[in-house]
Amino acid sequence: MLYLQTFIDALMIGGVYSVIAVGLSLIFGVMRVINWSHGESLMVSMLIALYMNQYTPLDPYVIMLIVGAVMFVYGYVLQSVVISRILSRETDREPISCLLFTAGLGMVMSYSVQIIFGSKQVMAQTKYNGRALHMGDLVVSLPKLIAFIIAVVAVAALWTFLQKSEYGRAIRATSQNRSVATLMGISEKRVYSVSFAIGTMLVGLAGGMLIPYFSVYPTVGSVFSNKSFIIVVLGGKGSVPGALLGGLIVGLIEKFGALFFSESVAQIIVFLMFIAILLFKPTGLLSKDKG
Amino acid sequence: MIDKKKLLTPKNILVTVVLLILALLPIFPTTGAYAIQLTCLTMLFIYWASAYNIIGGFAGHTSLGHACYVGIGAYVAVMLYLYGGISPWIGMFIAGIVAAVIAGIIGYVTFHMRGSYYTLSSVALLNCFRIAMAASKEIFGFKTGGAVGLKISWMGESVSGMQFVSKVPFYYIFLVFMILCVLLCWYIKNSKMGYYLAAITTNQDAASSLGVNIMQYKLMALCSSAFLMALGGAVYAFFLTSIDPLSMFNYDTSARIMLMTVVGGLGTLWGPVLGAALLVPLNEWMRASFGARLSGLSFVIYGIILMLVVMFLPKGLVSLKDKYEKRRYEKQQAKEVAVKEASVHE
Amino acid sequence: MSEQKEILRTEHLTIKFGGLVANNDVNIHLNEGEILGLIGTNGAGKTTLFNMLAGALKPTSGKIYYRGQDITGKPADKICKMGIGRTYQVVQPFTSLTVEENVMVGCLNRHRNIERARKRADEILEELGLGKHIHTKGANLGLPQLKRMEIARALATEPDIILLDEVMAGLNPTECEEAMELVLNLRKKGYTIIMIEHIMKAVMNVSDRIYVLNQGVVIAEGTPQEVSTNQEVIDSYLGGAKKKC
Repeated sequence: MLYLQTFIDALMIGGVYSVIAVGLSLIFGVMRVINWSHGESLMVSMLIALYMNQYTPLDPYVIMLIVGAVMFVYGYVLQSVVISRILSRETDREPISCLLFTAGLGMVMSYSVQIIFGSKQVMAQTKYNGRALHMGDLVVSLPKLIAFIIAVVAVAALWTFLQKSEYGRAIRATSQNRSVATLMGISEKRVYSVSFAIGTMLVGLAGGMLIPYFSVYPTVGSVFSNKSFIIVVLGGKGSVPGALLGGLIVGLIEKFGALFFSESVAQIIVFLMFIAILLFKPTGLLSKDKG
Repeated sequence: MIDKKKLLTPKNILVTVVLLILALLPIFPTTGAYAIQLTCLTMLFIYWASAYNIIGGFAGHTSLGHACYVGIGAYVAVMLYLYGGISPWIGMFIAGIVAAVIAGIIGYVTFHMRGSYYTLSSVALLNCFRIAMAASKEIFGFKTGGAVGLKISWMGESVSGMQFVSKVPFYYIFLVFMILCVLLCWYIKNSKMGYYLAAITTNQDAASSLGVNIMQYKLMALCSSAFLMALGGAVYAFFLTSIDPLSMFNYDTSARIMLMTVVGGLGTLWGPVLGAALLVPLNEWMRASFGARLSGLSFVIYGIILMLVVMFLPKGLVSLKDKYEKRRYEKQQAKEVAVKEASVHE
Repeated sequence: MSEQKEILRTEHLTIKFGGLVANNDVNIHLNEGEILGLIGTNGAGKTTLFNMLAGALKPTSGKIYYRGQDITGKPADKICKMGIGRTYQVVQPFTSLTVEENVMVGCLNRHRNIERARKRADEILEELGLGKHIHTKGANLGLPQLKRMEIARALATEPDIILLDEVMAGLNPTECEEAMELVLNLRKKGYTIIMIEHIMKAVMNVSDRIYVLNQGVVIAEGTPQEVSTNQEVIDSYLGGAKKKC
């Protein structure tokens, strides 16, 4: 029974990891850029959701959708106004200046929040806090369950979008070969902006779904972003199902590792698995492209 | 053989004067303990930024977890001293080798892949070490102090134990370290390795078709960088006399070291020197003026500086000189053309 | 040239990208001191073949022998050290380095010492008529000079075989003449050459022997005379090429 409970807990947090990581993975896969402010975007999303929850009568999950939309716009503008300019200058190296830029951006975000709001942990008060479903001996936290379901739906929706829609195909094509999108009559910059916006939108959704059960503080983003870096490598960059699988695996290792050993040992196991993947299957578990 | 005119360039004169001032600073009676402390930190960060530059600049692989090797250096040297009685002067080299081996493993698995995989794993490695050190009370039966860390208890002034009442001996250690590190970077940059790394960062395929073993040279860069970081970390530990996982395996320190190099000029010899020489005092000044309440302010400013530099000055502050010279050259050319045209009109 | 010594040979060389067979059962051989032409339409797999010979791509199956030794799948830097140099169809300069430094990277393969490598690089550049460009950055050089610089870089690694990938594409007729002269000069100095070229006049004049590739398969082999009268070649390639010109 304990194992089943742990398994359920693991899946639920793993789902949230997936939705965060899949955004990072999409951006990395399509643009070859790592958005180093990904975690901080999550933190800001949580903060916006927290305040909207406090000052508006809206349901937290409506707020979540609004935050997702806000973050979509934010991502689109950030990429089309700033990042695209930096990226277009990169000729011969890997696009590291985008990485450096977003690292700076992340610093500004987390420390500004720290200065303005202080570094204490704040928990949103919503009507879902602490609610749980009891099924025999099993206890399933309601907000966690909702978050898991939304996460899976979001990842599935993204996958469908990439597979079925014209735009999605352009995005996938660009991740394989930059010039293909242009051939399809869609501008590369637009593809980049949309991908980037989807990435930040998913983070916005994650922020919204987390607040009923996860407290907000300036460095909360790094808790999730560090895991997403690992999940991206685990699942294969740009692979949507890979990110889902990776997120669930990391969730499982964390929860069962903590059950059998300790939380720290669980983190170390995750890291060793990361190294093992790089060594034996560097393209990730579910990636089709080579190298 | 040696051309006197070549030696007397403004740059060389400037460097000599700065070094002389640094060498004599502790001797001036007006120099307070704070100035020594600040200069120590600045020189240490120049040293670290230069060491970082070997992998981050010359080899073009950004690391955001480079403090990991600082932590490894500190822990290995301190534990060797506390439990093995091994002098830190020897211990730091062992620490350097340990750091280089660990870096080598990470490099070997990530350099096979194109893309920022090394950057991703550098942070993962840092976090892994911090968590592991905070959680484990002992390694191989030797106490590590867990999250509290280790203290180097005072056992009297000793050169071999790197224990000094005053910070001045550390000042000179850092000064020598800094000079040697910059010299080493100069040597690397102007050696076969430097040319190969420059070729690799601009065009990996072309480099490999010219007989450059990409993996070998990237690993050489990473391992030497990690080795130097760890040496600095070992001395830093004895400078502080206490270490703990959070302050040693620190993300912010890693980010600062990266930032100084980028702001100064990635892949240049003087970039990291300039970046650290400007940003360390800036940080200390802000801490002194704004206090703990606004302790994050320096990082906000750091972040803004980094974003501005990446956007408007991607080759760092040292490229300002080139820009200035280019502009002067263009002006001169324009003048010459104007003079010629004027003479034609006459 | 009475006794021809074989220096490079491929056996059943095949490479697939996903479902696409880029090279299928390619068997070619190269004799020492010879100039070998490789022709074929775009996408015939010529550059892919070069990439396999130079170690940039690993063949799916088949073997490559260099001086009797199996070099299949060896990394590019090892193959360069063994004595096969190459240029790229799309020039690949080190943009942030000067022309001299570009060539030095090749020289450092044989000379550890920087100054010696620099001297050697200057000599090679002088020989190829790039003497006045040595301090220009790779990014600021014109296409004809870049193509020459790539040859200089390949020569700097002191190869026995040079793979020239369309060194004349994009050049005007005078520059083409110069490039042809250069290739003949290289042979005189003892280099063995394989060249991919679209400019028929150049290949036909310079080559001793020609292989024709079509859709990844060798469809003809022989002297320029033989190849140009081969019906299959005319149908699949020359006919079309003539129309284009």
